[in-house]
Amino acid sequence: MAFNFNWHPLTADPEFYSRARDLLTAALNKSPKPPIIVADILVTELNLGTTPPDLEILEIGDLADDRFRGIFKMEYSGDAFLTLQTKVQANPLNTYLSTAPSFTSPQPLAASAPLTIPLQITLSNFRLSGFVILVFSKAKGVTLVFRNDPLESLVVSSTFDSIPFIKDYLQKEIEKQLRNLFQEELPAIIHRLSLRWWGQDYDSASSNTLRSHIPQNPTLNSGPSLSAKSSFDNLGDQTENGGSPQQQTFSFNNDLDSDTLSSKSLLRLATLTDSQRTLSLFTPSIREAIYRAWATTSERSDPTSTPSSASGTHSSTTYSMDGNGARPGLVAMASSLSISSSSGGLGPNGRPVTRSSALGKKKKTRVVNLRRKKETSTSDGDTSSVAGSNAPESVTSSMEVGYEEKEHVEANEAATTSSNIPEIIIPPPSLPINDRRGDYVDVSPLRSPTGRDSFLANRTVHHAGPDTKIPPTPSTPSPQPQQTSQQHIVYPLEKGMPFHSSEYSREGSAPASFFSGQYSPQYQPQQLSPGHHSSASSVSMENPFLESRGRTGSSSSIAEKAWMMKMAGEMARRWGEERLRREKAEELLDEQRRRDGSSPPPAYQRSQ
Amino acid sequence: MLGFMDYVQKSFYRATKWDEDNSYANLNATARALLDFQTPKGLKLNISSLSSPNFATSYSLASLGVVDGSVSYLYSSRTLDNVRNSGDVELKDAIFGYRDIKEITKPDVSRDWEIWQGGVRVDRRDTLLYGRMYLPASTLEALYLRRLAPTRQLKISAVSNSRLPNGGTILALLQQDNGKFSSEYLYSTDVALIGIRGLYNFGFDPRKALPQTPGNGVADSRKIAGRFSAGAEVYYGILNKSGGVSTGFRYTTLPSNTGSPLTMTLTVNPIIGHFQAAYAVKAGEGTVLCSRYDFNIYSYESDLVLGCEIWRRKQQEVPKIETRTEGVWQPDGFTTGGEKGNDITGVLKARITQNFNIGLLWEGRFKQLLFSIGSNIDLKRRDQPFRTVGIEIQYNS
Repeated sequence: MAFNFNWHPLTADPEFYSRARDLLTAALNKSPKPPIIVADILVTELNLGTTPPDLEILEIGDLADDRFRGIFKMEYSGDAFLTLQTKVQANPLNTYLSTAPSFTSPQPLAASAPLTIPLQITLSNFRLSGFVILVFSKAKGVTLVFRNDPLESLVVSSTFDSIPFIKDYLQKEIEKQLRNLFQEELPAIIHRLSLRWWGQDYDSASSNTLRSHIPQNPTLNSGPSLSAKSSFDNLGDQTENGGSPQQQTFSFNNDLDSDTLSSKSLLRLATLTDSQRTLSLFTPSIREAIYRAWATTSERSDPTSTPSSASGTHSSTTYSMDGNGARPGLVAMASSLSISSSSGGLGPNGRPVTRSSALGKKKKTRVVNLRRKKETSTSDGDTSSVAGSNAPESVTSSMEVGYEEKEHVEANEAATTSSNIPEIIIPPPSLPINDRRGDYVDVSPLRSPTGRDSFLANRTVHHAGPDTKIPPTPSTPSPQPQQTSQQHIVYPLEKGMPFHSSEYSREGSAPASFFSGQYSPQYQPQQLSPGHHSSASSVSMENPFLESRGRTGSSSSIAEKAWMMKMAGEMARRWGEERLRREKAEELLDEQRRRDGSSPPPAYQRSQ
Repeated sequence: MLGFMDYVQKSFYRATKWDEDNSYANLNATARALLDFQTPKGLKLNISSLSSPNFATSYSLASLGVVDGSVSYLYSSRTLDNVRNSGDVELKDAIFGYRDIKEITKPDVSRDWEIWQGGVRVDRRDTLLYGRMYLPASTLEALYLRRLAPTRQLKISAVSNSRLPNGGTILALLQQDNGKFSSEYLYSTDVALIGIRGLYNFGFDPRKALPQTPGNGVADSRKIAGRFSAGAEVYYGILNKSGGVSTGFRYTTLPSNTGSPLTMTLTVNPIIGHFQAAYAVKAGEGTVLCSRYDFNIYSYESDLVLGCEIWRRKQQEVPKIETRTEGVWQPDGFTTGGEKGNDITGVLKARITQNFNIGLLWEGRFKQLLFSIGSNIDLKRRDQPFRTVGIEIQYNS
């Protein structure tokens, strides 16, 4: 392991010195000054010199991309210097009297006359030696603490060098002040400096090095989505296709994201923990967060194809479905991508159980909307693509959550099913979608019974799919997956803002409804952001997706695989763009939602 | 405005024939009174009483954001018959203003102070004890004042406060006043400060004056013009190994002067290179103008302060004044004015510095209350020129 300490970049920044000067000036004037100093202390010159300090690593407590904690032994004997300017009271009697109570003041007539003298002090030949504890975190900046008094010696040269008494006095005073500075002020200064500094570099650096970082936003929300992406990348790697443009595996930097929690998110998290500690049924909605309630349901329902997983898959599927409904051609692609997953949930279990009476209405209306849009906008392929993108994301997110194993199982199933069924399932047109949605709504509570329902619903969907296969036909016969894939790719490219399409949003809302029932209306905007879908839906899905992929790959043509990878990449890219675009809107919506506030936790909420 | 306890202390000096002004520390008292006056801040109430000729109490309450106050007691072994209540007190005595330097007098002979009774000497040295407790600041001030001899006075003042280094300080001051010259020796525990200061009055020596006969009028021609005084002070802090030196000169007209009363002082601090020249003149019946110029030969820093003091007299007195001004320019119109001091209803003090910092103070009497209203105005800050505004009300009984 090697560490490269760069001393010069500090000084290369022309603004560095001015900033440092300002900070030093502020720090020096903060603490109460001795009465002899009658004016503000100004740092007129600051030079860190060319000789870097010698650092000896004694201990490294923590080491990661974004954080570091270590203890160093520091030795410095460089040519840094510092020039201060201030005014001092040259009459010692005056300073003495200024601190003495007036009642016992000897009240000299003129012996205490003031004489302020501008004083220039140059501190040079620093000899420092001490133990430094350095803590670095991308979000929190640099914290540097001296464990002991690092100041060994320094040379103070001032305007009063010719007067030994004053010289000694100054030397003594300044050493005292410097010790204080090193141990109390300097850490604060460095921290503030690093925060400013890092605040600038952080974004650019992240954008440069990690494309996947781009969508990242400082709020918690980004967390899951980010990880989703990364996991998606991982997926790509795992599949060994390497087709995804973003190859970098991205370790789940959830901590990073959490570090950058916005105050809003923090607030929400706090209320969340409160609600868990108390009997409060209110659970704040945190975007793109996976609620344990869902997870548990998924676990429970696992034996019978988890509802959550089902929901997740469904969400993805629904997208694809919608897309398909709109675009028969697209259907195939969607099926290839997400259907696999959805089928995974549904296929094996596929027991048709009709469900949801009241829900049906909802579905219908939505369907209607979708269709309209499709009609209006020919290029609805976007939606499908979106759906596809969602699917992978969801997968990844679920990976984070750590349900992988179950999901694996499911995934396997799904994969098998998907591989088997892809085209079959794809067809399910708007009608089945509706059914599913309704089912999902039921599922949203995610309690075991609901899970059951959802499960049933899933089945229905599946069945419906085949049943309703006919309806899709009117729109268009499902083309071959490869073709669809091509179309897919094209469409997204053409459409700059796929997510903006109302259909997409609708679809998005639909999955939301699964999870959050009432939330869905409020949520819709958020739902737009793929990340959210993924988080919600993905709970169980991710691995299945992977595996399904692999399987699909085996089962279906290599071309399809490649297409999928492409798709994935594309989707990730677009997703990122979309994210960026959406962030502002989301913020606003967040606010609004918070104001509405009353939205109950999805887990405790009956969908209707 | 003079606090009641300060007023009582002054009365004690007067009763014991101690000349405050004949001290180097008060060389420039006139300029300080005219230019360095304190303007009250916030609201301050003082209620004091001389419950017996030997005992005085005073309570003060100040409200400037926080309410604080002080309780003080004073005991004097000398019966203080010259203390008046706030309704009767002469404003000249209660307010710092132009200091009319009295002619120095020949000090009493210590033998005159002796009181023998039945072959036993029973006289006591006059003593003044004073204590003041500030609340809630928890600061205690104490003063012990003793007239050791007709020419000697010991003054020990102490402050106790936990926030002070060593918990407080004590200042011991031994004053000696022979009329012709005075000297003071002081020691402060704060930094083990030792100080000596002395003042020498040139010219007329009261000790050698001719015995004054009532009908003699101007007995000694040397008294007439005025008085030139020179003094110096030296301080050395043993603990902080630092010291200070200054020398000062004053010329002041005496009551016997025929021209406008004026006071000129020049103080020099040779170490610091500080010069201070002050000039105060009584320009009319109740107007005093004063200017002070500070200059430092090392730093070239300078400061100029102008001030004035206007005494307002009762309306019905106007004709009387007019009649007098009709006549010849009478020197006695500018005498200490003890006989007509009571017709003063108020004093307006104003000063302005070269930074356009204006201080205004109006002191006067309203019925039985003494009040002072003041403000500090900074013309350089247009947005908020009034830096401080305050009123202080005093009632003494």
